[in-house]
Amino acid sequence: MRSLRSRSPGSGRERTLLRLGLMLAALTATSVVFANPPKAAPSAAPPAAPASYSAEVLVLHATNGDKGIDPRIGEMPELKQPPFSSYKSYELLSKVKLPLKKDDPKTTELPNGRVLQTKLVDVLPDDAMKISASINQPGGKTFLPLLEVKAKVGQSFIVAGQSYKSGILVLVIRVTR
Amino acid sequence: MTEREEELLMKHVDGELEPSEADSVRRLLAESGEARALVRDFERVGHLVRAVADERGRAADGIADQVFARLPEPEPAPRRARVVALAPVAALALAAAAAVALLVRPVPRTSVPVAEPSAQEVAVLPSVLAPAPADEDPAEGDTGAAIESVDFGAQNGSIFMVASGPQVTPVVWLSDDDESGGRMQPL
Repeated sequence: MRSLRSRSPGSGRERTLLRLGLMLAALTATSVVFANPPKAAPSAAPPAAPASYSAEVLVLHATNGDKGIDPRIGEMPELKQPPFSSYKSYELLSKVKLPLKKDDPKTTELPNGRVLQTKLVDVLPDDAMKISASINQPGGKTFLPLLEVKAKVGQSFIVAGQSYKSGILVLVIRVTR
Repeated sequence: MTEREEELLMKHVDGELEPSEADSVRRLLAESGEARALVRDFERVGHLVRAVADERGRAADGIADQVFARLPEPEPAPRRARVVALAPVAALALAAAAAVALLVRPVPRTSVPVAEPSAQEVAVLPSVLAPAPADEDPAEGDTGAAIESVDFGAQNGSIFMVASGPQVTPVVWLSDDDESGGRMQPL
């Protein structure tokens, strides 16, 4: 027997170590539970306020005028690439911030009378969120029934193509905090 | 030029004019240089949007193939003997973790009064641990926003991406067809 055991020294030692480890783990876990009985959340520390996000909407008017890109638009490399680069002039018509809250859609009226609606659908890990946008014509049919986008703070998406005053509207929607 | 006239011209370019509207568009094009220029603009932008959408679509089709081609072969499942040999180590690690948890557990508030960190201190910690605020600098490695779903309704639309520095910006391009009244779209 002794000679058999000595041929496989690891198995017995491993079993002993395993038993000891498990016992220690169980003992320690029990101590932790009893040392920290569940208690009500401390009233002095208020729960962290949920981060508030907004959709910043830039309404641009793209035409073939000779004004170039409105400096108020800021740096926007997208406008220098096709198909946006086919328009010579971009004017900032409005800039609004729509708070993004779950189950609380916000709207803004567009220059062509339509209404853009944005809504927070879900907050995702890593500062990301799913938001929805739609464009409706009051008293008329929906222009863009639904658009769902996953974006992080600082990222943007564009809805373009609505005809407006010899040009088109370009809506740049950017998620901000 | 009125908005109605612009809209008719756009429908003309999209091939969506009603027969009753065709005459007025023909007249408009014959009489107005501005209308002819606008039609040229619409056609140019339309071609460009389709070209960009097609090009981006082809590029996107190839991405999945490239990703799968670069994936390494799956490793064979580890043998059971190795798992058994590691079990004591895992148990000890678990025990050590539990011991550490016991040692660093918060002091019960009832026994020793501990000053709560101020609101300012609480606010500083996440900003140190978290990546830089994405307001100014979106996290590196992100490709940008992504369109999850879109319902174009009765409109004709295209989706494509436009580069914006290291990221890309998704674009939804809809042709304005306000008075179409939900007509059937060509397949």
